[in-house]
Amino acid sequence: MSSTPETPPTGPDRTAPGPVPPGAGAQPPAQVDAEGKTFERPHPLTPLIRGWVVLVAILVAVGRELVPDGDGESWLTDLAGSLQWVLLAVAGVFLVAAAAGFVTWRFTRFVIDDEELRIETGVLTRRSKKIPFQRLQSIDVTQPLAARIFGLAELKLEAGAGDSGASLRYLGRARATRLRDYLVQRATGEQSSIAEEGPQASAWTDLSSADEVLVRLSPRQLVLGFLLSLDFLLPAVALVVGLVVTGVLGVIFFALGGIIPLGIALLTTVSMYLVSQFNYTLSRSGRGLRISRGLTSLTSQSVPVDRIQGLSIGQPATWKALGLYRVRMDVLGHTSSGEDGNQQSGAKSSLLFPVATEEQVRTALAAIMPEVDLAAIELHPSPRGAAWLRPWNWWTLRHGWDERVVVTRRGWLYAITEVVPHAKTQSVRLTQGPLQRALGLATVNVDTTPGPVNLAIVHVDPEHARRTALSQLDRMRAARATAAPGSAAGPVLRQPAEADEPDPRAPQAPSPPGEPTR
Amino acid sequence: MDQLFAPPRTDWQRISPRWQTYSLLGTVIGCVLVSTIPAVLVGVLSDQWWISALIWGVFAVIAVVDLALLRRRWRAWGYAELEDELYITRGVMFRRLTVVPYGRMQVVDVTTGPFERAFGLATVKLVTASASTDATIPGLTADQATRLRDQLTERAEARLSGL
Repeated sequence: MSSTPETPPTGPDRTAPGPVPPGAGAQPPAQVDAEGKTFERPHPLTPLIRGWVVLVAILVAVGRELVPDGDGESWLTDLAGSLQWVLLAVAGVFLVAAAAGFVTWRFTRFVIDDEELRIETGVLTRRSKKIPFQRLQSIDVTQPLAARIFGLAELKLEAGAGDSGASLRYLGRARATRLRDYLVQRATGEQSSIAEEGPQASAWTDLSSADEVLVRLSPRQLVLGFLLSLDFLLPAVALVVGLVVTGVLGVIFFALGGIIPLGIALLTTVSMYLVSQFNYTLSRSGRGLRISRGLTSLTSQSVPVDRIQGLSIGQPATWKALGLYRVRMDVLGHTSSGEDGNQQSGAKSSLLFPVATEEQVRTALAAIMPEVDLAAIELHPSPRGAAWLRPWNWWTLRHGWDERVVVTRRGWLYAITEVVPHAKTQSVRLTQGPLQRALGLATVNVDTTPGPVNLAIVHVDPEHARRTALSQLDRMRAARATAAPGSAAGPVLRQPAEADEPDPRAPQAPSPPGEPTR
Repeated sequence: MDQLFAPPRTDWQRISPRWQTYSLLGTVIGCVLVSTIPAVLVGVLSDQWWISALIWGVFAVIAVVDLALLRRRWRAWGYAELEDELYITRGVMFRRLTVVPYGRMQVVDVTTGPFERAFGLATVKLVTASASTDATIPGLTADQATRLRDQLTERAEARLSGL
């Protein structure tokens, strides 16, 4: 609005070459702002896809209502009678969602160039979010079915805990993957510019010729692994036992009300799992790892290798004979420890491998922690006294370390090996409760970012625990000093003199056996 | 204090002795509030005032035990600033030593509630990228708290390392 009352309201035909900058009028091109930045909008088809997603959600919800109770006859006939009203309501919801989607789309713009990554959103409250490249933790490209059909993809950026991430819905598939490749490179500290041409992803896989495929899981391996996992076996055994018992007692008819939903739930789990993990591929491009998977909706998760804060390698007892493992990882911002990385939270999943052979795990480890040989790390057991506090698995407790990682192992029904690099450790805690004090035990916690990895050296001799904790601090210090400066989130202000300073604490913390002298 | 939880090559810095009064006051107020509502309810509804007396008695015992352990609880708190890490210890029954490298600090929080302010106390909390770090030092005098905060942020800046 102008300050002088005589001036007519701003119109498009205003000719005065006043101080009004281009773009300050009612309908600016919105592509160029005051600093001359070129802004982009998400793809114009976005509102339609968003409406479609809502529609699918409704249909799925209604479908789920229909399925479990097998004798919903009356409800079904009611529904058939008022079908046109239901359809009308669904269409209305679709339109409203599409309209809301259009408004959101109209007010979303972003700039990703050599200097910055900035996203502006919001209709009433404008919000401008600028994410430093160095802070990016992971970049995901997801293609829900509807978006996939139209050749669109969502770009999700994760920049640490809380609300520091962002998401761009939806971009053209080629544009999304190019931006992703560029951002992964910038996140690892490399300077580069956005490729205008080059390899692109197709609707089927998210691979370019520059990528090196590390592991690809066959459907057979997925199915076999899942059918033998405890997630499946326990409910399946419960189902069979239920059937047999009620069959023998002759009351199977009355038990159906409980058995049918259980069976349906089991089938749903199986199909959800297969649909979300189908065509699982782990590949490497530059310094980033990429996990792509999915049958209907394709998810592709890119994590720079040095953003992985820890690994948890699990093996249910039923997988032991087959030599299969399940691997999870800690990545900042991926706080959900989602069991199977289902479609809703697929991109946020912390699952690295749903099921993998030892060879495949080794390949992945070589890519993530190249200089670590887990088999070579000497593991120490916990003392016998731990049996009082952990009668169920005290004999399986192991811990060990080398100059790069600390490792613990525990469990037999579900054996878990946890690995945390020293350079990623946040803090160290030494704790002792009254029972532990009576038994002469103590626990050392090695804290990492929230996620599936919670490494603790439990119930060891107090003196050993103290030595371990203090020497762990030395190892962390050394690892931080040698960590590549490019991997830093933010400026690295460490002076070289400080890093090379000989450690004055060494005599106070004598190296335990197995600790290489540095 | 126990050698097991002592920092290497130095002694603990203690928190302010006034923290004992502050903590005791907190326990007493808590006990009064928690015990009075059920005690009065029981007394009014059932007219069995001896039950109310029992409830009050139990909480009185809790407060007395707290008073008896107060000095030990206060002595269990301690912190030490070394070259690269901050050491914090706490707890009488569940003892704990937390060590946070300065380079891992994301935020240093100084808080002081109305009660703490009345005693001239403040709480300093270190936040890292890990949710389980749990590095809190209560019962610092205002001067101590600001000095610690400034020193911690300065050191964190000098040793910042990437996630």
